[in-house]
Amino acid sequence: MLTLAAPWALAAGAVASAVVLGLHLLAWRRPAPTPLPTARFAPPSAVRAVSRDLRLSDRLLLLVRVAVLLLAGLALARPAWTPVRSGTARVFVLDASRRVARVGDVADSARMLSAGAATTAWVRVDSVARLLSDTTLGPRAAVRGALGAGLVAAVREAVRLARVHDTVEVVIVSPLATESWDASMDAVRAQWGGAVRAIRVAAAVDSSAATRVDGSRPPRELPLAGDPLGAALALALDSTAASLRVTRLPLTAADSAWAREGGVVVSWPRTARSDSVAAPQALVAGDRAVIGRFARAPIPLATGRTIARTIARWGDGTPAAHEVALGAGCLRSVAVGVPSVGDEVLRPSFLALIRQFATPCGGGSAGVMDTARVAAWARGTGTGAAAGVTSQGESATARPGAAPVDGGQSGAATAAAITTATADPSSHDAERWLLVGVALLLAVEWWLRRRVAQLEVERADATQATREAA
Amino acid sequence: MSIPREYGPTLDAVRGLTWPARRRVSGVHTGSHLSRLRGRAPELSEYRLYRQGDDPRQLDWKLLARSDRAFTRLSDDRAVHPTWFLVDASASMAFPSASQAKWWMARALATALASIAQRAGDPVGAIIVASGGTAHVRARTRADVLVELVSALGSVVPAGGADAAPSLVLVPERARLVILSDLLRDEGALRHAAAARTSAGGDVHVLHIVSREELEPPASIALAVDPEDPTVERPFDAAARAAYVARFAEWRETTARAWRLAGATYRQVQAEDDPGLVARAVATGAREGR
Repeated sequence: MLTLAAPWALAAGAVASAVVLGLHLLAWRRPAPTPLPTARFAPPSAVRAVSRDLRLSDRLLLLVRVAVLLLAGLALARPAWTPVRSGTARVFVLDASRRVARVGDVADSARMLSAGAATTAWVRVDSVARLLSDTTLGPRAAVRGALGAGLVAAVREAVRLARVHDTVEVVIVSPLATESWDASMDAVRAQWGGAVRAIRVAAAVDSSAATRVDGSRPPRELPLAGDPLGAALALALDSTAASLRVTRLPLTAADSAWAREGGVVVSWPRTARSDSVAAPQALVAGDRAVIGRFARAPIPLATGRTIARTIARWGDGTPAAHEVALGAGCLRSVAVGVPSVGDEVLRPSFLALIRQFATPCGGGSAGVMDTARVAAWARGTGTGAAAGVTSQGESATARPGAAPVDGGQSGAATAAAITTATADPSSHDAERWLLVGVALLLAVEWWLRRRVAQLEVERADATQATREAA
Repeated sequence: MSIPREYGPTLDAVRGLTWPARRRVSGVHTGSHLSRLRGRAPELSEYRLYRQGDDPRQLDWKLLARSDRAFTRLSDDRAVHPTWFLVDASASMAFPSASQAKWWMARALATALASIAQRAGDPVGAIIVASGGTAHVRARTRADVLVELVSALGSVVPAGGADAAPSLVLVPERARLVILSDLLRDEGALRHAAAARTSAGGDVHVLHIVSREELEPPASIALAVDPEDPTVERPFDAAARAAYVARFAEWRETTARAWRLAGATYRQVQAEDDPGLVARAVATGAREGR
């Protein structure tokens, strides 16, 4: 697309061309001859006079003059040829470091977010950044992540894409662990004027965070063994499990205090017996799934500004359990009615499932970046130090378990800014060549003007010579 | 055939006029102009002592008886003076295009002056120079020569351009030659031929006919073209008009002086004037009014 830095110059050239055209329209034409026997006594001169007829005179000269003016106007307007920008491009920074709980979640979130984007680019980052051709991340690396390196690669790719796309967005899909958030993140964010969105995924267990649990407190409080759930939990959990309280009663202040101190409170109220449930239900938590005659119960909604993260779903996608961060710990609400008869709750598949409810909060949320801090950084205003508090929730666009922490900045305006900053240097070449063309045309115009005048003089001389010969 | 009525006022204006020759003529036929010969005219001019060889019949016998000396009676002879008209019928004479005033003036002057000459008994002839050929009216004294002249003039349409000087060989050398022209064609050659005639004792009258529009071209003229030479084209703007007026006046003055130096009687005639008055002025030798 041709853009002009000074379009008024081209307009001025067009106006000047119109003036020249008007002057040429006042044609020099041959007037009607009148007999006069003594005409010879008038001084000889070019036989032409101004005519009111709208007739172009000296068309070639006019063409050259108009071309000179238009080319000069175009050169002074400093034209630049920029590609037409359209569509949205997204550059994904996919974290595959040791703090990622499940690499598949990262890839799934990226794929879902890539919907609607005209162009996507993938940057895998662990300790180094690598540009991918698709979302095949490969196995998780057992190394500390370096989001700064990934962001640098993503910004470089985003600048390239900004030349041809209207909107370019950098999306970071990562647990946003503190150990991966290196010091270059702020500087790199400042270099990129476009939009940045941070999508948080589940983090792996941070062994250093687990040591913060108060050792004086009983490690767990489980339902009585007469409860089928208590029996199942007793079988499922080992001695290394996190501080856990599972209550079948409504939550109390003591439960909240437990959670604030870093423990995991699982609220699993008793529901109607699922013995009468005819059709088996599928229940999925993490990478575990189980099918049984479970009863669906209404799940309590998160209150206030609390963001809930779904940790288990029914087979049709309906949330079956969610987690709400509270202090250093979390509260988990499970709306699944278990059968009181049979051994379904004692099967290994169900035991593996309920182990998911006993994992540390956030799937290992200790040691990740504070949500507000990341949001400020994504907006391009974050300058403070990293905080240790993490807020996790459900994203409407990402895979279940991924939480957006984006800055909400418009990508369209920033893409233009990026493009302007990387303006095409060929525009200067075009200006230079246009001026060279103007100079050449000026020379042609000078030669044509002299030629026309010379022809008129020769014609007058020939007429005079003919008369003298006669 | 008779003379058209349009010539009536002009002929009336010159009725009764005489047009004497500017010098003694050499004709032998008796006419109204003083002859170079001295003879036996009834009017006594002078006496001269008789010399041997004189005609004894010219002796004044009574004077011989009174004075006892022989005197011869001398008297001036009178002779006719052939008058020829050279009429220019080139395209430039058909100007202005609408009225053709120049051509009308030439025809009227030729008719009027021929009438004067014919009435004085002079032979009248004419040569009409046109591009299609030269019309020749033989010099005669008969009354119908006027009709013949008018007929010849009326049958010619001014067009093209032809040199008039070569036609002068048809005119007797000592005849009275009246040139009716605008002198735009071969003025130089014509003047040289006329100078030879005046040197030989001829009588040359030049009536230079110009139009008012030639003197003051109308403002409507933007491009003037010579009707005899279409290659001569001149644009007429304000500057060109001023230059034209100056150069044309200078040319007329130079031409008049040259013709007078050649011994001719030069008179500029404006085409729009009354031809009868002009003919009277020519015949009487009145000084040019303009």
